[in-house]
Amino acid sequence: MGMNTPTGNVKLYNRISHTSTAVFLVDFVAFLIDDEGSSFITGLNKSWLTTNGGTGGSTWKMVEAYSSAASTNRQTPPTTSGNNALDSFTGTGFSWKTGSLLAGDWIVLECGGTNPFHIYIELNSTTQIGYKFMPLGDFSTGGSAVSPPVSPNGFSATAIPGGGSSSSLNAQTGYTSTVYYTGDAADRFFSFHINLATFMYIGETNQGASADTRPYVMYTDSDNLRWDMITASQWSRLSPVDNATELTAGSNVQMFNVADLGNRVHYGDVIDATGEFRILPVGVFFDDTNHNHFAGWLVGVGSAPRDGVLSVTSGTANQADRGDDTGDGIGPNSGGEENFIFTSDLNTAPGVMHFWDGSSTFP
Amino acid sequence: MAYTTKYYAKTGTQMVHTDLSDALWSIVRWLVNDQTSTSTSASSQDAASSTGPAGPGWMLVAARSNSSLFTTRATATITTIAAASINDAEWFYINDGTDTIYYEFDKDNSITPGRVRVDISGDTTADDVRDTIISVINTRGSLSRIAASNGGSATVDLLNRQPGTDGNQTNGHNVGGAFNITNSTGGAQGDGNGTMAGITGATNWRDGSIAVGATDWCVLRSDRRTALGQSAQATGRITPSTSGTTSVTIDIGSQTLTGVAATRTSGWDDFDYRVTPLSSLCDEIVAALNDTNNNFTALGRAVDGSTYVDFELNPANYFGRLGNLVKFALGGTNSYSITPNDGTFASGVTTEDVQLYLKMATPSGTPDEFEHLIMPFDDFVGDNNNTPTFPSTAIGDALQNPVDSTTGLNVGVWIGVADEGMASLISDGGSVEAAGWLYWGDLDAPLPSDSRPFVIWDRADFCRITDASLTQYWNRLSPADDTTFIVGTLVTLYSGSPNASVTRENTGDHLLNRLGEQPILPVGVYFATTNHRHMAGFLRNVYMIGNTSAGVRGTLGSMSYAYRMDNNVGADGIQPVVLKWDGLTKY
Repeated sequence: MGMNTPTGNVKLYNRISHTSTAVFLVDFVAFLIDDEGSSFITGLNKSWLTTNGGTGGSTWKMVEAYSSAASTNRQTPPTTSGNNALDSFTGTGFSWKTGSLLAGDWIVLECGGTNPFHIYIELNSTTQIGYKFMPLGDFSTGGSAVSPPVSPNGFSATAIPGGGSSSSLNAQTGYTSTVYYTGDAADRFFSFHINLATFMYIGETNQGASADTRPYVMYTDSDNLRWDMITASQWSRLSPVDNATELTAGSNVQMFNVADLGNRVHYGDVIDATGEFRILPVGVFFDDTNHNHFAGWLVGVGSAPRDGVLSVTSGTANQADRGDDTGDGIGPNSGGEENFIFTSDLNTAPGVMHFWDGSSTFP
Repeated sequence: MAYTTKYYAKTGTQMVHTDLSDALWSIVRWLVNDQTSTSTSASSQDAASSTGPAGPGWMLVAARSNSSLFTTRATATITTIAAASINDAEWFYINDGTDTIYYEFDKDNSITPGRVRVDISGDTTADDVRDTIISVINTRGSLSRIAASNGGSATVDLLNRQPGTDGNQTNGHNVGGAFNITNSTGGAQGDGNGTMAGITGATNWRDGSIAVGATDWCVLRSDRRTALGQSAQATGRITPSTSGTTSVTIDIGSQTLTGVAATRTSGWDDFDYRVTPLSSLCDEIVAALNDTNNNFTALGRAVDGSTYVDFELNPANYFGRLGNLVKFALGGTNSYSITPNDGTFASGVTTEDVQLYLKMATPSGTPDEFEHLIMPFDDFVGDNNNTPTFPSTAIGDALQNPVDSTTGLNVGVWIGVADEGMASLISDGGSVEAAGWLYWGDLDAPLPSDSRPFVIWDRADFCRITDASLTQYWNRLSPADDTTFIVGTLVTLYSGSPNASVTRENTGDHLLNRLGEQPILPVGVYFATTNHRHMAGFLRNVYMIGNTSAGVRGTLGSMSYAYRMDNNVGADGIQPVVLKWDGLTKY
């Protein structure tokens, strides 16, 4: 159906191990903006992958960054070409240039296109990153060099989560020392998980309403790396009805057998009788009065069934995996089945599936 | 390759039928892309057919009326001889109208690359050879259009499953003695462009005057092969090098062939990479891969190309697109190359077609209805009976039993959508409840091993998407064993708190997107039957929306979709059936 198929190029953040949250964050930003030239990156052992004929990062660029240790500590990239080079920041000790982030350092990225959005990313602590999402792409640059930025040079009133200029962030934990990060990104979204236990998704959806010109959502339950039966308040977005109301009670949309509504298609005790399983798209739905709507399907991310493959909590798969590891070439972890990766922090729940490169080992 | 969508409408004008027999004739005419034939008996609108896009569509396999059977498929015959009278490497070829496939008799475990092996090394009699030929042709299945069957002593009957004069082709051989293959003859009408006026004998079908109830039926065939391409095995080629090799491994499936600087050892999955020249190195690799003591013969067979080695996956296990999932990778430090080099075999295609039986019937105690059934194995033989004998795997409301017991079809407005693999129509009799729905054919996004994802909707009287038990009328042949009749349900979308369907609520609060437009949502089909459980795929060109306050019928998205449901607005758990629509015709 192509519901969760990216329309643009996809690149993969390929199970990269980092020794600290700070190192990961600067490397991940470099991954998003396609910075393959900045000098510090060589030392970071950059190893992200590009697939499908392109880098997929051309529309991601830097808007502004803050480095608490630098003398000139709030900077916008000096040139348009510098938007995609962390090296373009100036001055001594600017952490986004040196790759040595400190707690409180932040950066704002823009994802371009017809209706660009902004993402504020802050290193909260040695084990936590905070996000704030500006679907209208209206972060205001140039204010006081503080963390977090304050009005009027900072967040717009429609920044989510938290709204307004408060310091409320979508805090994502799980960043302890020497952990693995895996994810994917394209022109309009990124998703990744940490150490097979934490999940993040920010960006667009596919096939929502045509009038929804900014179909951008953010996962806010990042310690939950699985598709629960029904859970509201896992997704946030700006209401497409008025482009002003922050919606925080979004839930995932899953497929159910209508004759047995207690069971999702991906929640049975057996895999398909064909010996295969199906990767299903996952949608996002907001049930808020006067704002209820189906927001579309997640891009590059879907659902893997609980059984068969998920007798383990992570691995690689093809849609036709037989789940038996019989050595026929189309069973999990037996070769030739690396077009998707799946992870779950609970082996009794459907897992989160990402597109994958078709050849790399995971986990 | 892609499907071509067409709609049951004249441009800007709804199809209105005042007689169901005339409707059926018009629909058949539409399905076979007949733009010209006219009915001699019906009113002008009933005699009309859609003016949707010309091009491939469903094809007429057989039409029966007036005690006459009209057929359109070409046939041929092979006469076999004892195996001892056939020399190794002798061949015959069959032209199916698309491809000419050479079949080579093999007695020494070696064939010419590009030909299909017919291993008669264990055969003795002419009937042995007959059975081997039938097995080879049918095992490779839809790699060609040809189906083979036992035609009696020393005889193979060949049938071109695709109707049309394209099947009338020259076949040949170089085998001595009494061995023979006839040319293919008897194909009638053009592929995908038959005309009702071209029907001979079965004049009721020719003239648009088919009778109700007893004797007039037809069989159509989908044309997925035109849309998607004919089936093909996934390919993999190894190009070795005699230089620069310090280590080399070749992964095929879960097995690894390892190059070693030593003489090859049978049973060790290795070969001697020191062998020169290149042609000898290819021989060495072929010998290793085809060594029955090694672990590759279950996966397939290597064929020597002198400067390269092709590995042909075993079609019995990795037919068509299943082969695309088999690992094919090169490792080590060497100057070898493989094609494809992205981790798996590639270019495998599986394309099967389905047949559709249609007849006007008068079920006991009910008004006239269509009687319909699908044949997932594309294996209708045909006879000149009032009701033909169906294959054992034909699917209606039971095996070999057409759907005929409903009362859902109506005279009035008809809308429909079809492509080379599916067709779905809605009849609208005017009142809220007078709506009928038909769906025949394939699903989108079937799993790779599910090469015949063909379903039929068994309740024409329910024109609705619902989460009630009434949805358990999706019938198909189980892909788990290709013999069991199973009944499935729809897949709906649930979310939110409290548990709520994305499309199902009384209040309407969930239903009309607050942006003022309806999300067009997919409709999955799921089978929960024990030992046959599977998610089969999604209806194509058919969707659902929320129960809407806009009425029981209408169009959406600048007439890119048309919808209808057979219940009052606001009824619990019922959503309209949405058809992809032509963007031009008001409904």
